[in-house]
Amino acid sequence: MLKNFCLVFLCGFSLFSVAQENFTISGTLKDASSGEDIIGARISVVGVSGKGAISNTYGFYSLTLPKGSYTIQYKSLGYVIDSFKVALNKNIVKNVELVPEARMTDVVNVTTQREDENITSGEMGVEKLSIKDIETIPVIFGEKDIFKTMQLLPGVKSAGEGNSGFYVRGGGSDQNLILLDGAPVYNASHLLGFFSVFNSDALKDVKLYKGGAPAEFGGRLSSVMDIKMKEGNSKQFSFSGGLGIISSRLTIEGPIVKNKGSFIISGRRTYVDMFLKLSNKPELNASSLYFYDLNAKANYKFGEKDRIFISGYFGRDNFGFGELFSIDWGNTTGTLRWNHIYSDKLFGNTSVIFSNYDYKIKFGSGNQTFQIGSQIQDFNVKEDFDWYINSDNTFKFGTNVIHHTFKPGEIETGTGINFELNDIEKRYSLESSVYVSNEQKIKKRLVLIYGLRFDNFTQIGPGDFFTYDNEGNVTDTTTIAKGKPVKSYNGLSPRFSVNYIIDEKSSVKASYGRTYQFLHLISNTTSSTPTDIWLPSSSNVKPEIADQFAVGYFRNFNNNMFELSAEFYYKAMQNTIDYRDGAEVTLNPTIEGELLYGIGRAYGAELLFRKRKGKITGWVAYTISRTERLFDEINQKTWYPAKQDRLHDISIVGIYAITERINVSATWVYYTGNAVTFPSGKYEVDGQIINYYSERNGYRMPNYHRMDVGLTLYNKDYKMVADPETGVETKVTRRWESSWNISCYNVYAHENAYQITFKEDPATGKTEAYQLALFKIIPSITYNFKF
Amino acid sequence: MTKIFIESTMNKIIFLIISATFFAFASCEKKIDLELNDAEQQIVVEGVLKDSPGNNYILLSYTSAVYTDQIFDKISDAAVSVTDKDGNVYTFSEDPNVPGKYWNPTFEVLPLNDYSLIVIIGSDTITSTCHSFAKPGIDSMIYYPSPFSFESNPDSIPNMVEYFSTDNASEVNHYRLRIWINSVEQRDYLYIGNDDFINGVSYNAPFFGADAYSGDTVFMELITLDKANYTYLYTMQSNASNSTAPANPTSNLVGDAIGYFGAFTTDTMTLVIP
Repeated sequence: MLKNFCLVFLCGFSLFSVAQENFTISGTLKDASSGEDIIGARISVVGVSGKGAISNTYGFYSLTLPKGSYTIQYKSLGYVIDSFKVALNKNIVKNVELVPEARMTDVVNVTTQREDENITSGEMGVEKLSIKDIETIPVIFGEKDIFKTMQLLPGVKSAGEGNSGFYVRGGGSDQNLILLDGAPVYNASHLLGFFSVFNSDALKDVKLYKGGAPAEFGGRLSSVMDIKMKEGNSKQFSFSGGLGIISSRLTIEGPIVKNKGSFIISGRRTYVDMFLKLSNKPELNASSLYFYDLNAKANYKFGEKDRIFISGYFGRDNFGFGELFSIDWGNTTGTLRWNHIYSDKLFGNTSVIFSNYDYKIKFGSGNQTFQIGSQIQDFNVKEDFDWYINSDNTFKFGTNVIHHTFKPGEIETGTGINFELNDIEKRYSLESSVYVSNEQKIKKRLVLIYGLRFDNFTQIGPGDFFTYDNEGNVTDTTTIAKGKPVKSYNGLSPRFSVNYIIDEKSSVKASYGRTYQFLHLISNTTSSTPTDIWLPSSSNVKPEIADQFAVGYFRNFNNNMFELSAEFYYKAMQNTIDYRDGAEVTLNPTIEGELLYGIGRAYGAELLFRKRKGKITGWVAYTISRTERLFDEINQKTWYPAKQDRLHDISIVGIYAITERINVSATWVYYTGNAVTFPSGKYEVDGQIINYYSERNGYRMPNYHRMDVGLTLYNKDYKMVADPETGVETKVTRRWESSWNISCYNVYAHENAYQITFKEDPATGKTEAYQLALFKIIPSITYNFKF
Repeated sequence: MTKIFIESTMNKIIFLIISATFFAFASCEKKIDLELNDAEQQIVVEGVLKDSPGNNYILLSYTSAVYTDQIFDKISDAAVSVTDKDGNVYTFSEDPNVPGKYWNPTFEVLPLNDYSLIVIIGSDTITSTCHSFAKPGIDSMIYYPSPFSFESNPDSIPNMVEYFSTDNASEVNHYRLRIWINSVEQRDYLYIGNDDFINGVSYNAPFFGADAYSGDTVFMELITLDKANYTYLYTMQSNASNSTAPANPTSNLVGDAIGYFGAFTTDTMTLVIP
C-alpha cells in the first residue's frame, strides 16, 4: 500500500515539469570567515518571483530553472547579500561563501530567521533560535542557554525552578524529542534543571517544532527540538570561552585541512561545590556538586560530493555527600554521518547514531555499598534524502531504525551486604519508520507541505512478560525467546500544512498532524528528577497518540521591523498515562500494573509580537491555554487539569543596544501556578497525622513571576595603530575579543513557590501551610573571550 | 523494606541537595495563608488486632479541617464486633479512659483465619474483612557499626541493627517491622516490604536509619500484613514524601469511612547492646 502511495506521489510530479529544457544550479553555502554551513539561507532569482530555494541542514541547495540568463541572489540573516550572474545552459555547481555582517552601531538583530520567513515559510508552529540571539538575554547564573531562552517563546513553558524539562502546548516533559545532531538526548538538564546539557558555544542552530512537524520527525507527541552543532572553523584556529563564578567553559576549533575539514571541541564544568566547602556544616563540607560536559566533532570533505562527520557528546552530573551517598547521571551520544550529493537534485545523508542515558545511586562505603542504576541505550541507523525535483517541489523521504535497550533497575551490592535484590529484567524493542514528504509551491501564493509517516514499534524478547487484571495484579507470565516479537504496533501519521501568502506582509496558515509515541517517562515525584524511568510500549502499555490542528495569522509591519503572529491550536491525545493511587514505581518489575490510561486535550492561543530591528529589540509572548485529562479511575471520571495546566503565560524580553559596546537586556516572566493536589482535611492513623485529599489537581500553586536583567560590555575590538609613514592612526581589528556580562536573576527577589507542605507549627501546635522558595536574587558575572 | 528506604532517601537526598546548593543563595521557607476547601467530615476507622490476648484496638474518630489543632473528635457509643471464620463473635467495648478506643481483653488473632469487622455508628454501618497469615518468626538479631554514618570518631559511630528471618514459601507475604530503642519507637522510616525477592528463603534485613548505641535496649516486632494493609501503609508513606499523585490510601473498609482494618500475626525479640 505504501509502495502504491509513493508511486502515485511521484507520478504526480512529472505532470508539473514543463516541456522545456531545465537546468540546475546546486552547491553548498558557507560562512566565509569560519567555513560553517549556512542553514536556511534563501536563494532567489532577481526579477523572477516564485522561484527559489532554501539551503538544507548541511548548507546544500538546488535550484532548477529554464534555460536563460539570471542573477542569482543569496541571502541569510547576519550576512552580506551575495549575487552572481549566470547564463544557464547546463547544470552547474556553484559553492558560495557569505561574508558575515560586522556588528553595526544601530542595528542589533535579535532574530535568526530570514526576515520574512514567518510569512513565507510553509512551516508553522516553529520557533528558531541561533546563538547570536541568546548572547544577550539574561538567564540564570549568567550562562548562555538555548534551552532557557526557548522557554521565553510562546507555547513553550518552563517546568519551573528545580525541575528539568519543559512543556510544549500542554504536553508532558517526556513528549519533547531533543536531538543533538540527530542523536536523541534523554535528559537534557544538569543540576535539576538549572543548566541545560547544551554548551551554547558549540551550537549553531536550534529549531523547535511545536506542532505540525514534518513527516521526517516522529516518536514524541509535543515537540521536536532539532539542535545542530557547529562544524568548527575550517579556515583558522580559534578558541573562545568564558569564566564565571559558577562555571567556566572553553571551546577550541580549527581546520584539519584548510577548507576541507575541521574539528571543534567544547567543554564546560561547574564548581558550585566550592561554595559548599566554605560551609562549616560537616555534611555540606564533604559534599560534591558538579557537572561537566564535552562536545567533540570533526568533519572532512572527500572530493566534491562526499563529506563525513563524526560527533559526540559526553556529560555527567554528580552529587554526593562525602563517601556515603552519591548520585550521578549523564548522557553519552555519538553520531557518524555521511553526506553524499547523488546528483544536482538529490542529496542524501546516512547516519549511524548511538545514545545512552544512565544514572546510578550509591550508598555506603568500604565493602558495605549498595548501588541502584537504570539505563536506556539506543542504536540507530537513519537514511534521509532531499530531492529537489524542480523549483516548486522539494521532496524528502527516508527511513530510520532504532534498537532500544532498557535497563529499568540494576542493583549491585558490595561484598559486605548480605541480602540480595534481583535486577529488573532488561527490555528490548525496535522502533522503525519510513516517511515521504513534499513541499510544494503553487503559483506565488500557496505553499503546501504534505507527507506521510509510517511507524512500527515492536517489543522483542528475551524476557518474562506479565499480564495484569483491572486492579493491576499479575495474572499470567509468558517467557519469550531472544529476538522473538512480544507485541507490535503500527501507526500511520499524516502531516499537512498550508500557507496562503496574502501579500508580502501577511499570510494565513493551517496544519494538521498525527504523531505516535512509544516511550513513556515514569516519574515518582512531583518534580521530574534524573531517576525517572523510560518505559517502552508493550502488550500492556499502548502507544500514545496525538492529533493536532492549528491555524495562524502572521503579519509583518514597517518593512519587517515588527512581526506579529497569532496561532491557535487544539490537540487531542489518546492513551495518556497516569498513576494508580499509591503507585509503586521504584524498582518494581510489575510497574505496568501501576499505570492507568485515559485521554487528554490541550488547546490554546499563542500571541507573539516582536521587534526585530533598531536599537531596541525584543518581544512580548502571551499564551492562554488549557490542558486536561480524563481517566475512568481519577476524579470520578471528570476532566481535570494536568499538572502543567497554566492558563496564562507571559514573557517579555527587551534588549537595548545603548552603544556599539554596551548592551542591556531584561526579561519578565509571569505564569499561572501548576495544578496541584492539596489536602482538604486531616485525620489520625497509626499515631500520625495524615492528609485527606478530595480531588486530584484541584488546587493551584501561587502564580510565578520574576524579572531578570543583564548588562554586556564589549571590550574594544580594535586598536589604533599609527601608520609608520604618515603617522595617521587607523583602526586595526584585534584578534582577541572579550566582553563582560553581568546579570541578575530574579531582580525583585520574588519568592516563587517550589513546594508547599502542611506541617505543625511548633509554636501553636496547629497545622499551617509552608512554602519553600528556592531562589531569591542571584547575581552573576562572566568574562567571555574569543580568539 | 529497602525499597521504601531507597525511595524516601532518594527524595530526601535530592531535597537536601537542592537546599544545600542554594543555601548560599538563601532559599527560604515561610508560612503562607493558603485557602483550602473543607471536605465533609469522614469517619476514620483504625482496626489493629494482634495475636496475643488483649493486644488489640479499634479507634473510631472523625477527620477535621486542615488548619486546626491536632485534636480529632472521637466517636463514642458505637457498636463494634469482630467475627472469625467459625462464626464466633467478639464484642469490642469502649475503653472508659480513652474515648474512641474499643477493645476486647481476651480476643487474640489466630493464624490462617478470616476476621470480619462490623462497626455501627448511628445509621452508618462499616464492615471489613482480613485474612491472618501464619505466625512469622524472627530467627535472630545482630548489630554492627553502621557504614552509613557521618561520624569519623570510631567511638561515636552508631550501630545498625539487623534481623534474620525465614519467609513462608506457601504464602504471598507482606511485612511491617517496628523497632523501639529504649522504649521509644523509631518513626523516621516506615519499614515495610514484601516477599517478591525472598519467597521461602532465609533472609536478613537491616533497620536503616535506626541508630543504636552501646547500652541501648532494642525491641523489634515483625508483623505479617495482607496486601491491602501493605498498600495502605505504602501509600501513606509515598504521600508524605511529595509523590506525583498524593491520594487517600485505598481503604479495605466497606461503607462511608476511611482507614483500615487488619488482623496480624507477629513475633518480637529484644536485643541489648553491651
